[in-house]
Amino acid sequence: MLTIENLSAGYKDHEVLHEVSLEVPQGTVIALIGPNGSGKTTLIRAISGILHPSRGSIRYEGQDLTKMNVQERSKRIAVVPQIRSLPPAFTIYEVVALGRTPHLNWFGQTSANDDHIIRQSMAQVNLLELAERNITDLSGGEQQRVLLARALAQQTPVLLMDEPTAHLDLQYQVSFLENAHHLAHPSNEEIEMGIKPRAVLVAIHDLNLLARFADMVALMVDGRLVKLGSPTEVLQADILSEAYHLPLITLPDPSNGHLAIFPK
Amino acid sequence: MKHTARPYLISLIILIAAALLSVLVGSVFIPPATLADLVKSGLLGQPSALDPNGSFAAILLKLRLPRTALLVLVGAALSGSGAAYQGLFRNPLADPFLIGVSSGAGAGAVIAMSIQWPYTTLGLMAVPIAAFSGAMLSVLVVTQLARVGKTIPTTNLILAGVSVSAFASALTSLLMINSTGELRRAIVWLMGGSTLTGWNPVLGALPYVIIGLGVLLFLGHPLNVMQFGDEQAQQLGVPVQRVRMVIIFTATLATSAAVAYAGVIGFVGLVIPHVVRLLWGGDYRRLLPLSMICGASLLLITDVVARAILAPQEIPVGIITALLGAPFFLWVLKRSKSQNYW
Repeated sequence: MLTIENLSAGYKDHEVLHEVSLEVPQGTVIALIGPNGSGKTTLIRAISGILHPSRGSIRYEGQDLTKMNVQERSKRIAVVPQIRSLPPAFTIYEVVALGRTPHLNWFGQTSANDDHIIRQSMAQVNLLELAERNITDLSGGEQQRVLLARALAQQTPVLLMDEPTAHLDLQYQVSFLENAHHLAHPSNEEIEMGIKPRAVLVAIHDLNLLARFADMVALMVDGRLVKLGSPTEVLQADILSEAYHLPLITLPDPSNGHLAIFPK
Repeated sequence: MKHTARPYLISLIILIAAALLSVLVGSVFIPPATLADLVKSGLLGQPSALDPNGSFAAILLKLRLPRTALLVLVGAALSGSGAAYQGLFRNPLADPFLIGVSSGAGAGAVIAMSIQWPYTTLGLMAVPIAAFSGAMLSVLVVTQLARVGKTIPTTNLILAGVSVSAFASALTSLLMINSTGELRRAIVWLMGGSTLTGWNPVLGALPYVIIGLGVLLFLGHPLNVMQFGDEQAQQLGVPVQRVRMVIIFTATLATSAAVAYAGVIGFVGLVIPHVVRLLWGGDYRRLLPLSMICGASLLLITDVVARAILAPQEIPVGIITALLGAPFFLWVLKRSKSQNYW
């Protein structure tokens, strides 16, 4: 379990996160929502060690992550970044193989076991048949899946995702988020194969897709965690209207009863 | 990442051929048969039948071999550090010459030479150390000038490199005008035509080049990861700040040793990593060693050309590399803008 306690962090002269406390247990997907500038990305950067917290603690299974070196931390926490620009000289296999970095020596020599894990990670996001393709020849949705597979190859118990669906069309958004859900809730077969349920924290803008994949929703406003609960608890018109400074209404989706959010 | 031996085999064969050419060709041509006979008789400890008065042997041991050896070291150093700078700055136009490292090293070397000129044992130590200080200062100034937030845009890097280069070159010229008598020698040296002969420069450059390039060979994998940006590299377990410092230090060390003993030779560090990347891919674990091997070959071949073109007069090799390299630079610049190449 990832445990964040009273975490404050920020940039040079201004603090962005104020005393955030959050627990992400194994087998749980928590969706991190909030308006732009509410501190979602900053929280993910702080957990992954890019930003050093000014106060508070980040622990995994009781171990203080802020005191670990980058290699030890990257064995516990993997990040799926937003795709911006990718370097062209790599195949999918090569990119996913970079996920093994925390487990390799300086030469980056991969073993047969590493190869197995790389292929398994590609298979989990349906990329195996594209292994030798160059990453810059892929669609945005495929590129995002490559970065997910790379994070999976790190074999960390915790996965952080920073608006992974921001550049994807609807079809890829849904399938990507279903993937995310699946990582926290693997099938019995996968558990028998040794795949463990992960703790997943996803920063996301699209409120309407949340209920399909998130077990819990954490709402951030102005660098503070203001509400944590199930999708039905958090996705309330009054709570969201206040957070987003915009009158909103929620309506149940007639097909599955999940709440959908609309501006009034 | 196909880890076949073929690229290494091909580039090593080219290197051996280039080295042979470099040893044989010059104002006096040594026939291959004579070379073979000299090697044989040298191994057996007998006088050579084809070289009764020992003049070929003298040319070979005192002039050609040390020159070839120095060019191998310098070519490997410039090209290997060029590849490392390109990976570090994630910038296709990073070359020790273009980013001002070579000129900085040159200025440092000239400062040392103006004090310790001509060469003494102490001078041989002082020149590379001064060159290294000048080069480190340049690279730090250039990266600070060019940095925008966390990235270094190509244009900024080149502009900062050019201005630091111009400053360092002006400083060098100023010092050379002051140094009486040795002006021509220094000018030739600056154009990348070593006036140094014998084994001393080879032995002087050797430790710096071996340390610099030796450490770089270990950094191929971290450099691969760093192509995705510092933040992702760190999240993948690479201690980015430390790796960056080590790369700047070692690449600059190798470059300054090359400059201190062979002068300012541009574009080798730009051309070779690009050719290697086009031929055998961008995996830095292979790109670094292959660039070093091919850089040595390129410098040997251009040096043969420099010696042959206006024989018996020699042209500084730096002029030839610039004649080849400058158009190549423009081609890369155009390509990197028009295509998703980098």
